[in-house]
Amino acid sequence: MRSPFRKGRHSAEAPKSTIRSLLATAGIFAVAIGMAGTVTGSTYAMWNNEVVLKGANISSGTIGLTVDDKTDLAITGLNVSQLLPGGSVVSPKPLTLRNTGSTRLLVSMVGTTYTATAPTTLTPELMAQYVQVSFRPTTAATCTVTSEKDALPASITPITMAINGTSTVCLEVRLAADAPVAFEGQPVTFKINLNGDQLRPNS
Amino acid sequence: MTIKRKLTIATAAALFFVLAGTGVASALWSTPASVSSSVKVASLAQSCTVGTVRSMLNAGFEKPAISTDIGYASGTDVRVGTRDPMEGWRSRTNNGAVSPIEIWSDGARYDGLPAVRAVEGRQFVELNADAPGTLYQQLATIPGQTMQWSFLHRGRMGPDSMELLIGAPGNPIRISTFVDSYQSPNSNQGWVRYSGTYVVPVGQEMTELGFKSLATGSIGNFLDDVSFGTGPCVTATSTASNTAPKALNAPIYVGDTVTYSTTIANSGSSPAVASMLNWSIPAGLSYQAGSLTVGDVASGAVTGNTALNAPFGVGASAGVGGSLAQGASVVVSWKAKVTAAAGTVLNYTPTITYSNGLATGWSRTLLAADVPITVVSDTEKPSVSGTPVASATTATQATLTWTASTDNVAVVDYYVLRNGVRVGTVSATTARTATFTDPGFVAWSNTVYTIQANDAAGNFSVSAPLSITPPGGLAVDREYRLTPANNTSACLVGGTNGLISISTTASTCRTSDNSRDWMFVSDNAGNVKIKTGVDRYLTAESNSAAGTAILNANSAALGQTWTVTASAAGVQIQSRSNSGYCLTYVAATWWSSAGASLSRCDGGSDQVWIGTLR
Repeated sequence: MRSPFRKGRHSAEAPKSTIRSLLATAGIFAVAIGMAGTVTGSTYAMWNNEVVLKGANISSGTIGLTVDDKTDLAITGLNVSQLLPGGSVVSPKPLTLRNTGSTRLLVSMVGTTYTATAPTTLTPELMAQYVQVSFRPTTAATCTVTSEKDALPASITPITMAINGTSTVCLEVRLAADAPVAFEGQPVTFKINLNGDQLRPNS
Repeated sequence: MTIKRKLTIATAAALFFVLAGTGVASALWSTPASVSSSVKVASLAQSCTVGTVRSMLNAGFEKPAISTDIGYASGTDVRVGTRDPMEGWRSRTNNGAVSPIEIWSDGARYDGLPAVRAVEGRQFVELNADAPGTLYQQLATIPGQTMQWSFLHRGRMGPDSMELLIGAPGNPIRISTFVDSYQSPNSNQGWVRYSGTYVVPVGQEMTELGFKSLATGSIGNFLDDVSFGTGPCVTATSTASNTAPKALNAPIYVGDTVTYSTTIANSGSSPAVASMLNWSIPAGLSYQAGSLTVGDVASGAVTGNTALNAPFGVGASAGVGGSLAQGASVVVSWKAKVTAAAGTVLNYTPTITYSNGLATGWSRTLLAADVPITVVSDTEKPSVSGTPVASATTATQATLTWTASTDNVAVVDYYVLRNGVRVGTVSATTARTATFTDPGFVAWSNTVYTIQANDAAGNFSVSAPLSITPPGGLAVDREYRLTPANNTSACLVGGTNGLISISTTASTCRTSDNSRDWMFVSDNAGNVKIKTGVDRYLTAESNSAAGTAILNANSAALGQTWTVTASAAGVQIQSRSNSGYCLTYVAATWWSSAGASLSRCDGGSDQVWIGTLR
């Protein structure tokens, strides 16, 4: 059986019926949507830039979220001072979240994943149990360490970001005071996963 | 393009937006982003190699000591005006000029605020002295080593902020920013402890630690109890030696007492906390109760005489280890008696546990090097004790005293042997004499005592014997002629008719006649029965206190038992049934021949009888 896609492409040269043309064109969009979802890993129908149709251009806008102008920011320097039980390290300066798309976003922290990268002997589960991450909004020019006697501030709750809007956050990582000695001398690699969800224009 | 085609495309686009989402179908778009990084947990392994311990100076800002509530140090390494340099510390303004260091005394107050208490020592500093600046100290470091930092921070009149800088001298990098407030009214509150580690980069032989004020003006940022160094460095060294009065290096025999000592020292840069020594005393060593000391003070516990637990350091209590400050040491000592067989090797490798004060949950373990001892075979006997001497001897008890033995190891105890049978054991002491009261002694039993001195190895020696014989040189089961001391020509005669009499003729008394032979028979209770050669027993008549003594067949009657005690020239024979009455010689008179009766014991010579062995 020939695919609707291929059939659609050739139907422009030799149109059959109106109904078949409608279905073929819709199929092209459907495939484009499917491909976009596959590439981004999103289960949503993500749209980016434009799709060329025979004889017509349709522009839908863009969506984008960056941290310090990167979609996947890797921070170095957090290990200049190494962690002790109960102690924290903070990002050298606040990080900037930026809505780079053409639609408003609701940005949320969807979780932190830990990676057991050699030479660590720790499991991701153990890391998650004893290494706390605070990714919190700030308006200060610098990030400060939270006193050991105080709990880490809560991470961001979903924040609304206007088009081209920015928000600053501080990253603080703490080793729990009761971390077992197995942590001694071990590296802990983690990734904070963020998500920017399009907000309806009228919401 | 035909109209039909345009219509087709337009319709298809409309269909797409309906299907794929314009908000109406709620198919909203989403975009991800991420932030990844890596942190490292510090390793607090000890850095105890000679020459690698690093520690900052004057961590508590105690030098120079000031005599006022608030004073100043010069901020450089020389005296400036009236301001002395602060040991170890220097200060510079944000434009690099030398600035003074402001010192506060414990309890100082200003601006009407509550007094501020020093947490460590009696002084602390205010980072903002005359102007914002950086207080710093530089020290030699070894590339690659982990330096531990810690400090107390608090605000003065509100939230104060500062940066911790560590790195190459003159160009340290920012580690973190700290913001703390003050806390009223309790003036020693508000201090906040921060700590962490820093790994010295390659090629960095000197490292600077500094605190830079982010607050403006001359007010703000109190600092106290700073530390920056390689952490605690705990070492333990043990000794095992013989115990005085023996030479410390004398061979150790079974029974010797060994003194174990472990010297624990912290040569690091910060205290070792939760410090404790543990050891399981092996078989072959018997812990000497009360001998466990920590710093010469009885302390710790030995459970079941085997599980030795000795918390040490400041603040140590039962089962809870204390803090051993940097530069401090302590000696844990205890004693045990060796019970192991010769040839046994006894090891001593106590475990010292402690924690770095920056990670109290990460207990560290240190095994002190072994100081094994080998138990030497002991074949040397104790010296022979003095011959026992009896005193306070009664019919049923004798007290013995003897001079103590000596041994190359130690005399463990003495066996008291009565007629070759052990009747008692006396533990050896350091006293020069030993005593034992034998409640099983029986007079009139020809008792021979000897003393056996024993050492722990089983070597022993036996003293010369002490013979305790019946009084008056008499013996049991031997035949005697009994002569009154006041008439040595006479003798006691036992007839067969139940009466006794006295023969006053010496020649007759010397004649062989078993009616004149008397035998003392022990009743095994310290007394005797007295019988003639014709098997008749001297019996006190019981019808009167005085009465007479007659002869009867053997019976269990009390009147047939007599207490014989030594007297000046012989023995006194006292009735047990007629207490206080003694067998008495009655001289002949013109109306009566000589005889014997019972008269009140008065010590007279007529009551003294001399036994002459037949």
